[in-house]
Order: sequence, then structure tokens, then C-alpha cells
Amino acid sequence: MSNERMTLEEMAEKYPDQWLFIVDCEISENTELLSGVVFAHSKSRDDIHEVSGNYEGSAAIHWTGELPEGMRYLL
Amino acid sequence: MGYVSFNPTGELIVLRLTVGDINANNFRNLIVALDTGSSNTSIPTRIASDLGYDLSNPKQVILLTTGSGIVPAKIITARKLTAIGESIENIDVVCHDLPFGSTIDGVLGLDFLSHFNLNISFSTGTIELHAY
Repeated sequence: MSNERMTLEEMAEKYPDQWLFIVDCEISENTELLSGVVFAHSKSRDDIHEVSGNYEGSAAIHWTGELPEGMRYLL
Repeated sequence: MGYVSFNPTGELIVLRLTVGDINANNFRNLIVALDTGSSNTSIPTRIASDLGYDLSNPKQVILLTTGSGIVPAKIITARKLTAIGESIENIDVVCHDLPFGSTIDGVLGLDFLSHFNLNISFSTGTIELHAY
């Protein structure tokens, strides 16, 4: 793990279309995730949930990509 | 008043939801979709478990009607949820795993939103929550 603090834009550039587990989070008073340290990254959300289960402390989970081509949500 | 910006041309209104753990010490900050058509806020079962909630002894098991069918889901009482700059303590959330390939971890539903007046502006890409 690198201790490099990055903004979400920098994370998206370094880890495109990936799930991130982010620690040392900087969160605005309006609950926006501003920056943090990428503890783990993966194409698989399950991998990141696995990391979450083994991490004691506060953290954020983030997807850096866009909605895949041809995919829509009906929640 | 809580306030966030969103991408008004996106396919979803994506927000951050902070879920406090059972001891109010730690949290997970998740990527969720704003869903005014959803009764409940949902988070992944694994995350609820990570935060110390006992899924073997949920507050309630409900039948969740989703776009793909009706499935049982467990309800827990979260110590604290925070979104759009506003927090609610001791609020029920549904533990539900969205399908593989999803780019969000859950939804922010009416059980949270209905505590406020909600203003969504697609012309400015802003969401406001006002206490009433």
C-alpha cells in the first residue's frame, strides 16, 4: 500500500474502472469524499468487501468508473 | 441544511452514505444511488457485518420487492447514517447485496429522506435537504 494521499480525480486517473478501499478519508461536512489513501484496489467489488472485513477502522469504498456501456439501473 | 452536487446528466444520482459501526467508533463511507422510489436505505450484508451488526439476529426479516423479484432481506438498526450533510441516529436499514457488476453499493431511500424536505435541481445539479 502506498501512503500517497489522492483526490478522487487522481484515484480515477491512476485506477480507472476499479473498486477502491480508501483509508484516512477526508470527508466534507456535506458527506462528500474528498481525498484519502488507497489501501486496496480491484476490478472486483467482492475483493474490496473482503478487504473491508479484515480492516479495523474507518474507510470508504469507491468505484472510479462510469456505468458500463449499455447498462441501466431499475432499482 | 445539507447540500451536495451531482451530475445531472448521469444515469444515476450517485451520493456518499456514511454508515456508523455498532460502537459509534468507525464507519464505512459507501457509494449509493439516491432512490426516492425505494422504501428503504440499503447497504451490503458484508459491510453491515464488518461494522459489527449481528445479522444472525436481525431486527426483522422482510420480503424485498426488487426489479428482479421478491427476496428476503434482513433489517438492522444502524447507529448512525449520514448523507447529504445530514445525519440520523438509530435508523433501520436493509441489508441487501446488489448484483455482480453493479457500480454502487446500495441506495439511499425514503426512510432517510423522509425526515427532510428534499430539493433536487437538475438544472443546477444540486440536492438540498432541509429539516422541517
